[in-house]
Amino acid sequence: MGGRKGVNVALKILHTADWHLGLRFPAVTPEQERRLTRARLEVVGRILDLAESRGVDAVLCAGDLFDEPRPDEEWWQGLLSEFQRRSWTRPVILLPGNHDPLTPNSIYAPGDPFRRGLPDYVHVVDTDEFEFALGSTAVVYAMPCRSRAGQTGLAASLPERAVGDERIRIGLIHGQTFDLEDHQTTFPIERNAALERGLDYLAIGDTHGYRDVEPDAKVPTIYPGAPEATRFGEHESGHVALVFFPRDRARRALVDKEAVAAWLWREQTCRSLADLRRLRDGNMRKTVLRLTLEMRLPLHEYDEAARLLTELEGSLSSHPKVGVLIADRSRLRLDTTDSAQFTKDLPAVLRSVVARLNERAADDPATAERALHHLYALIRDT
Amino acid sequence: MWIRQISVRHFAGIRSAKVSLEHGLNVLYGPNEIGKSTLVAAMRAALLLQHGATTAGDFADWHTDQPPQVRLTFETEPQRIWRVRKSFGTRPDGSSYLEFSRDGKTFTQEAKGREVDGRIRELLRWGLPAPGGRGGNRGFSESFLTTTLLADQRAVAAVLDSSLADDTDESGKRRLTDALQALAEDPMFRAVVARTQRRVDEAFTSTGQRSRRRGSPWITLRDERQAADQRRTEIRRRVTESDDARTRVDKCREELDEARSQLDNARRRRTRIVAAWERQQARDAVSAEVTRATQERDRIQGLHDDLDKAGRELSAAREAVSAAEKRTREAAETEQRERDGLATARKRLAELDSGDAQQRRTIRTQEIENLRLKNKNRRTEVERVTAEASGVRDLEAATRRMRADLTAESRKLTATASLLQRAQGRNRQDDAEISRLAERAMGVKLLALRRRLAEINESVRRAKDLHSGARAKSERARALRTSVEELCLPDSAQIEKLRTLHTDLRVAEETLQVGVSVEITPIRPLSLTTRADEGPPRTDDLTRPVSVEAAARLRLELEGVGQIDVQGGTRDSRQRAARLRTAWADATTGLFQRLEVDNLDEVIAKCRTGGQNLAEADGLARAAEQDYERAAAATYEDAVIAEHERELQRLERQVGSRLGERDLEEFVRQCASGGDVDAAALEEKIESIRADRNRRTEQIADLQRQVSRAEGSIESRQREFGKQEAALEEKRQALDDSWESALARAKAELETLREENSNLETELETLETVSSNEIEQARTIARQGEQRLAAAKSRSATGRATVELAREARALLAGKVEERAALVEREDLAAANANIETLHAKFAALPVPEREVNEPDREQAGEAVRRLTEECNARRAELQTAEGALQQVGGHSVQEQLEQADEAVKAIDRREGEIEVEYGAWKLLRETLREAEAEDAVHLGKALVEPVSRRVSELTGGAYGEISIAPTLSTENIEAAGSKRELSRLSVGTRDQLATVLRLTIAEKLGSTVVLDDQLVQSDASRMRWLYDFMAECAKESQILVLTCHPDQYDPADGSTLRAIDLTKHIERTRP
Repeated sequence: MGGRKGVNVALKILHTADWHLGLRFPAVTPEQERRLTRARLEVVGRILDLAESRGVDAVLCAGDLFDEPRPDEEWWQGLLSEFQRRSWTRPVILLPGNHDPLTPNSIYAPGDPFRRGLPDYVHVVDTDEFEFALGSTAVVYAMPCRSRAGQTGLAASLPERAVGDERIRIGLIHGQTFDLEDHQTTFPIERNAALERGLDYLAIGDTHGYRDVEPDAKVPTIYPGAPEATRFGEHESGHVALVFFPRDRARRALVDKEAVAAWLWREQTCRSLADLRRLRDGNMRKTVLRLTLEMRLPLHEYDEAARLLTELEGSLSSHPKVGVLIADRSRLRLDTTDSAQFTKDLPAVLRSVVARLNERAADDPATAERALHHLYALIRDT
Repeated sequence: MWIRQISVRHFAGIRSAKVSLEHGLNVLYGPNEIGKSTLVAAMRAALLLQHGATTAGDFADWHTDQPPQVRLTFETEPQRIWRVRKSFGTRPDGSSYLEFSRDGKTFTQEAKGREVDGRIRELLRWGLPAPGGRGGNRGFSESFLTTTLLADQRAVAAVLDSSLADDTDESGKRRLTDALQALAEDPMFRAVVARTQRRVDEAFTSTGQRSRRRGSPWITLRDERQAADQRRTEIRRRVTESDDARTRVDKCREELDEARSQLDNARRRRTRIVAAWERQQARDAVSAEVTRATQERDRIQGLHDDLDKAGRELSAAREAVSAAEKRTREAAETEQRERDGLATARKRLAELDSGDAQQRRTIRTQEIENLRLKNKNRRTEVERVTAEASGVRDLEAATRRMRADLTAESRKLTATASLLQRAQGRNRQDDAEISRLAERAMGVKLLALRRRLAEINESVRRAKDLHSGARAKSERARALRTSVEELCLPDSAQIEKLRTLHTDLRVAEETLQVGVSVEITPIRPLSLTTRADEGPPRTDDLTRPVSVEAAARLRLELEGVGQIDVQGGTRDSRQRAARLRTAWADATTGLFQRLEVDNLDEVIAKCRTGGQNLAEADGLARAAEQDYERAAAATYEDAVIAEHERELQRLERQVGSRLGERDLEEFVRQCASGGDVDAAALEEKIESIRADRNRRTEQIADLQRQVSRAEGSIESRQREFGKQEAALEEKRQALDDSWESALARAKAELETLREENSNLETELETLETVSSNEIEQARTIARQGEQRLAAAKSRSATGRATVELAREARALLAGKVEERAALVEREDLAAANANIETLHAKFAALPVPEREVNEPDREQAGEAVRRLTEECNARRAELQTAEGALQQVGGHSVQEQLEQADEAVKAIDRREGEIEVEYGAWKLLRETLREAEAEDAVHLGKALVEPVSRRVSELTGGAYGEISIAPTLSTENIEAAGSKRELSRLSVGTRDQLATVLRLTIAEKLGSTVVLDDQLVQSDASRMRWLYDFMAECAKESQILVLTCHPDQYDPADGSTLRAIDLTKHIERTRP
């Protein structure tokens, strides 16, 4: 079996987790939220396409595939469609995580429409003694989360390697390997659990950034992270793990981090108009941009900044330049020193208005400066 | 506001009347005495008079007891129709009702009684005071607008004497301001205000409150916030549950750990207590044996100690005996030595008490007294010589001092004289400098005056240039303004109306574009000319059926048969389009011709150009004004110039006379080249020098006085000095030698005498002291010898007694020692010590217990272990229950959801902040625009001057020009024959006409009803014709009620519509 240069591969799997289908983004507008939630479903399609193109032997999904135990139909139906449009024999194993735990009423319950609609190649970890053979050379052991929180490590429940068992043993669980001060650790996983249970690879989910828990350990324990970021500041999200098991079982399994995300979450502060112009010229249709404007501009440049912002945000008549823009313009200030130039050709009454607004700016600069700009824009368009 | 209907019963001379009116021009005609003015009075009473007013009594019908009744229906805006019903008089006859309707048929009561008049005032906004005030119940309420719109027959031209300043309520002024201000505003300003208001209206109500209507940003935001808050509250609840569950788990775990820890401690404690108990038992047994062995050893050791003590006491007694014997021998030797000393002392005392020694001391004392007397006489002589020598010495010193003083005074006199000469020389130099500077100051003044005169001439020339430049700008501005005014460009409101009309026309035309089609089947050949819509006519010979089509209009001319016009659209649509075409043509034909344009866009372009030209004209006018002001500032009166010239001539003469033969111009050039010094500085310098000179003159006088005084003093001192020198010479001669030698000798003699006296006194004191001391000393020694001998005898006796006692004690102790030695011989101390050491070693080998324990301690420790074991089991069960609960409620996932919910609320906060700033800014801008607008406060009169002046000029064939209307709309004068004329000097007819134009113009701007009751009886036919046309124009925007007995003057010859009402058919007069 091929797939990785220089390695005689016995088995190849795709490990993913934390799709969080149906995740809400209440901090953005409904339209923006729709784009972001749809993106979570779209990336699943890309993941499955990747699995197909790389010819993996199995796809392991390590929990939190839905954001809620009972997601809206749009999301489970969408996922069902992704599975149903593929005529695979390659097994896909779905593990319930702490966001979508296995309960009698969950999406994974045997009588649920989602569960009933799954094609045969998709398997749900619905028992504590889950064991799935990948041919004669490998086996997957898994244990589902049955609640939103748990104090017991699931890895300890995976069976140990029996004497004489020479198969590739893969563990699949959901939980946290860290134990930070004041942090509520859910379903803790010992860092050396993979070795303790005699595994060749421990596929885990929960953390949204890709992480090799013990890079120097003989057996890899990997978080693939969320395939699309869920918030700002998530490092290394947007990946899946492609795992290659050498025929030489003495060798450590090789793990490739594959980028699958379409969306980029980015935070930026613009301190000059030039920065803003550069943003306008860039391609950010698939970017969630938290933009802070921190500059003081004369009136004509302030106006340009406002128009650039409108271009980036989009309007009724133009598409947005940025996929999702969250702009903070509270520190965009107006330098009123050149307002005399602007008022030069205005009627006296409007010159008086400008002068009054300049005076008001001493008490309430934000409102007065914005009002001055409104006036500027109105006159410009008149 | 316009009046739809007036009904009257028993009102003055009218028994009953009912007249329906229309918007536009209504001519109510009838013969004299038919009741036209009464009808007007009824309208006024309905709107302006309270039903119980005193004046209402004037309207009583003399022929009936029925109270006067009026019912007036009026419309303030589309679908807002009001009906006021009043029955005048006091109770029970008097009553008022105000009713409201949207369709003019069904009315609902809005107010009654006294409230009616208040509500009517609010609806009309005519500046009427609130009803019920002082005097409010007596007569009609009047204001500028009632005079303008509802003047009665007797006050045809009263509007010319009225003013808004007389109104006690601001509503009329505000309404006029709203209507007229727009006329005077800059189009750009108006556009900005309108667009700003639209944005403000998106978010705020008219009272400035946040709008609550659907689509308001606040409502949208509120909905979002409610949803976000609700979601966050729900998630928080779940987080709280989760946290509580986790806290419970943590607490149970802590309690279990605590219980386990306590159990472990209890078990360890029990083990320690048992071990300590056993050790303690073993150690107690050995310890008792050690105690017993130690007691035995202590008893034997006590015997040994007694023997040692007795031995030490015996040795001490032997040493005491030896010491007592030694001290006894030493006392006997001392007694012998003291006895010998006493004998020697007694012998010396006897020698000193003998008579020879006393006699030798007396003779020597007498000799010494004689020598001391002799020395005293010699000392008196030496002191006399010393006094004489000192007198000479002092006189010589005084003479030297006097000479030195005289010399110093002479030197001082010489110095003062020198100072005096120098000061006099400086004064002469200053006189010369003052003269030179005074001359230069005159030159500088002359020079400055010449320069000043040159500057004045230059400034006058510059002022002339500025003045001519300003005149050119002013003429250019006037030309620009005239060019614009000649065009009579429509204002923005008119443009807006034209736009609206144009749009309406286009829409109306579009509604006619329904497509028309005609099928023609000729029975015989014929010639057919068709014209589809506005296309060219087309003629065909028709022999077979044809179909002709057009979008909206089709004209068919069948030769020899007739003409068929086919039009698309409904009758209403066609009529509406026709009306609009007519209105468009009426509105634009004259305008387009005047402006030489073809369409509205070109008109707008012309207006824009006109506006720019006016702005340029304003700029030029301002610049000209500034130039005029600068020119005025730069120019000088001729008198000022002449005064300067006279002053220059005077100065030149003055300088010339001072210079004498010197050339004046050469002198001036020298002054000019001498640097930039002004006359004031020079004069100041002169004054400074002069002041110095005056001070110095005072100093000279003072010095002269000092010299004079010093010369007198020196002369007097020289005389005294001569006398002193003569006295000195005389004393020197009296002294044989020099005073220095005499003094030296006297001093040496005195020293010798002082030394001899000292020696004699010393010898005398020695003689007296030596004799008494020696006798006393010998007696003391003898007494001391006796005392020491007695003490030596006593010590010798005591020593002997002590020796005897010591020997007795020694014998007793020797017996005691022998007895103790026998007892010790019988005991074994070493064996007792060895036994004790063996037992100590055994005790030390035993382990030490950690603490002391007893039997109850042992039992308590066992009980604690049993109790804590049960506690531990209970805690474990609780922990399992709590963990089960936690698994069901959430944990980390709800925490993530809460963070999302918080983020959402923050986002809404951010959006709210942004919306607040955004719409706050629009609101602020609107308020600021209003403030600026109010401050720029429109001269309301300005808005009327142009239309009224233009119309009066048209009416009078250009005889009158611009009318002056004050800010409060009081009319002041009118331009005629190039000058301003007071209105009172106009003819009655012209005043009536002017008042009519003004009233109609105001009514047009307000869109209101105006009543003209026999307003134009003094007008000739041509002016009447013009006025009728003018009324027809105004009637498009207002309602005009003309009451006249000359209906022929209002014949609508041009086909325009008016409503003519024959009052004889509507009014029933009271018959006596």
